[in-house]
Amino acid sequence: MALKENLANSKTKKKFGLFSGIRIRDMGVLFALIILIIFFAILSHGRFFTISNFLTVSRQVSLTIIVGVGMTFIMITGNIDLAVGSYLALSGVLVAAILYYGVPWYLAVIIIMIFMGLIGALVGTVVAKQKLNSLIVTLAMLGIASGAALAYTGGKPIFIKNQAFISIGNGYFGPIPIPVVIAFFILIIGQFVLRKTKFGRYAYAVGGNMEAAITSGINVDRIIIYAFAITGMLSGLSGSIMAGRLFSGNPTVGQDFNLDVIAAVVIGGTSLAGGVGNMWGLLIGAFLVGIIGNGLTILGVPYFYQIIAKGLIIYIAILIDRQTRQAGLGKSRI
Amino acid sequence: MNEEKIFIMKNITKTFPGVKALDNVTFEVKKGEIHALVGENGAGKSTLIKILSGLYKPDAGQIIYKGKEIKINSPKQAKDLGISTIYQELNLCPNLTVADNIFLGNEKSKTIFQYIDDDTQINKSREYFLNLLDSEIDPKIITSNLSIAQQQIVEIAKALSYKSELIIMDEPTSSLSIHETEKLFEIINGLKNQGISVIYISHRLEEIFKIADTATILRDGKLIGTKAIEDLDYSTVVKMMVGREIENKYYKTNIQESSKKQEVLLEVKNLSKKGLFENISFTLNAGEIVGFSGLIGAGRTDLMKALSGQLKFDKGKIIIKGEEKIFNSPIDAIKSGIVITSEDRKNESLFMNFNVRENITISFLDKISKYGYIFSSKEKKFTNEFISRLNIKPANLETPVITMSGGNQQKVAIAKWLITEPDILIMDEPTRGIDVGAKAEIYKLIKILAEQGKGIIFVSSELPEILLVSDKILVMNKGKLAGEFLNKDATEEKILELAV
Ligand SMILES: Nc1ncnc2c1ncn2[C@@H]1O[C@H](COP(=O)(O)OP(=O)(O)OP(=O)(O)O)[C@@H](O)[C@H]1O
Ligand SMILES: [Mg+2]
Repeated sequence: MALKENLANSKTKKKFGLFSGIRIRDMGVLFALIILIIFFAILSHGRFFTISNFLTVSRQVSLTIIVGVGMTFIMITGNIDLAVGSYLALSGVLVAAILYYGVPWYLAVIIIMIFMGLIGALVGTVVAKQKLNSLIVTLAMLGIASGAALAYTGGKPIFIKNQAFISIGNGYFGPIPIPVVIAFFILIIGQFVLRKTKFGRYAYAVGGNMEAAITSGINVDRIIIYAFAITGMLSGLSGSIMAGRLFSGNPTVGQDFNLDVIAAVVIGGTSLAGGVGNMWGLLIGAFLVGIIGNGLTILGVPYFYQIIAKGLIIYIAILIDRQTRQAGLGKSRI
Repeated sequence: MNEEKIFIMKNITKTFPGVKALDNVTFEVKKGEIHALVGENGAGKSTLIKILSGLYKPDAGQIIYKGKEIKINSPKQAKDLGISTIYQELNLCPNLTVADNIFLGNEKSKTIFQYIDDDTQINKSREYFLNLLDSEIDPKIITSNLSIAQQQIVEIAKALSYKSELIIMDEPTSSLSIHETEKLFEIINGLKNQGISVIYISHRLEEIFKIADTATILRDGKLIGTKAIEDLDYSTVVKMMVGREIENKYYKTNIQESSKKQEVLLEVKNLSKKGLFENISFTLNAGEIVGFSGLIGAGRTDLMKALSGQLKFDKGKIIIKGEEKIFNSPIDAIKSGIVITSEDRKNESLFMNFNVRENITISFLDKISKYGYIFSSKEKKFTNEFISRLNIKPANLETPVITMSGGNQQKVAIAKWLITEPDILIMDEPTRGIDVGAKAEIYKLIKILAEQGKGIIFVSSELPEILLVSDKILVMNKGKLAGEFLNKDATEEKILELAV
């Protein structure tokens, strides 16, 4: 009797699917995003709300999304990576250097992804094995990686001539920019891994209750190392796309990138404390951040004011997010 | 009759998303009475008392406190009204000292600069522990170092440190042994004599008959009845709780007489850890249930942690199926087929960010996945089986455990390991906070596992259940093995004699 009831229940609620991440709480930020779109659409007299501008924004946010997928894994385990901006610069410079020696474009990208993945794994190992706070470890890494990129190039960009490589950043797949296609696939795969695989489940477990994860027999260190390694790899990919886009490996790119990625992930509902989050939230968060920049540019607001506006809107978005969250779950649970 | 009521809760209704936790419940308590609140897991007991202590607001209904209708908006307000509460889930700050916890929000301060008078706090705390519960917890120790039972004692001391007219105790004895429980009863009777009212929630029904004057029974959020304790007996209460008669029988088999193969699964030799336990040796055979009895602080939990790879020991050997094992982490222990259900479900067992399904299968994913991909149909099937076997409520795979009642959370924490069917299962206070029906179900499951040739170590502070399930009973006292009984020779008195 009871069993039948269970089965009936589990059938009516099909929360298990890939879209299981979407919850009421994401709706708050989605709502903010829609308001923002309407706001810019009205103020810009039609220059904002066009397909071509949508594609432009998509291209801009695609890098945030690609690295944000890795960052989401890291933050779900209860850690953070402040070095992703510097990874972007470092991998761009290195890929340009490799291409200079005539290495084919695909090999260059793979080599950089593996290399950056190893760097990520190293950071993850330090965090996990030496039990150091990831905030501090990655802050140190930020210094090391951006310093290395600057030292290697003497602060000047390395130009890239490989046309195939350049088209990763600039080309189109039909009407859609290639980086957007890549970001789309990474996002889907990220969500799949998060919801459907052991690694994803364990990542939530590690961030949700570290002690219980250890006693449950989860190899906690390995999960943390993987999360950082994935982020390193995806940073390598992003750095390559960025380098293609700029026709060069530039050691000074990615200055605001940390802010964008972390903002996108957090606005998307991933908890800084770990254990909670998903990729759909990231998608919305990344667009929110991207559209603020894009809309204000179209309206002719100077860059410096844009940064201020970004900060404020991030604050408001997080407030809305918290409001919806509290409506959903009893907060005063003892 | 001139029986003054301390409060009346009238027609209280409280709904959570998808659950009607309380449905038109009226509950009243007289001055100076001990009023028991009983019901199955998820019946709504904790919700009712959380409304009274200002944590939840009712959707409908009135609260009349000392003759006046009031609204209780916060725990602070409840405290000021003279209501103090020991919650079911322990809520101490793990990073503070015991004394700091006891006086949290109520600090003893010196001079106008308001700095905290540590000495007074520490001395007062020590007094509380000794006088009240006859236990020697060091008030200067950091709270995270205490066992669950010790934390429960600290919670009791904390609630008693306020001047209250009504004290609510939500399963205060769920991890206490008989010794501390009796002490607590003395205190409760003392409170009663001072005219203080006590609401007492417990799944140990014997306790209700021992201490309470009146009992109110809830079932599925509804009031079933309030009666003087003289007018009730055990089976009536159970029937009112469950709504039907339950067969609460557990057939003992005598392992010596049955023709079980005497394969030794686990052999522990002279295991020692300085300050925690010393020279522990015993064996666990296939198909055997070994019970561990003892008082709080006897070192049972630490010993179990050592056996399951959570704690490094100094000396001794753990031999599993004839092979010496060294555990560097729980992963090693699990690989050797030895798992533990922790006494501390909140910190060491459950993932509050997960739902029932994700919690139950977290250590079982290897069996229901391939190349890292989790087969959701298998996951659901196994989870549903345990939801119905343990009667987990609500019976829904996707309920976030954080919204579940304490007893149902405990069932999830147990199911998580039962599902893995380990060779050796250590259960540390597995029935803590679980209702009578589910207890019987857990005993049955343990028995089935034993019949399949698994070995079970059953740690419990409840003597009746130790006597009921164990083939062999080991008694620990101050870190040492004080004695060993076969089930047929054991009695509560004999065990207590060795334990105290
Ligand atoms: N914060 C919450 N959000 C959603 N549902 C809740 C919440 N708190 C309790 N419930 C639900 O309300 C019902 C009653 O829970 P309650 O904790 O009062 O039970 P209980 O009688 O104390 O049980 P136990 O003996 O297991 O402690 C349960 O079905 C529970 O799942
Ligand atoms: Mg309860």
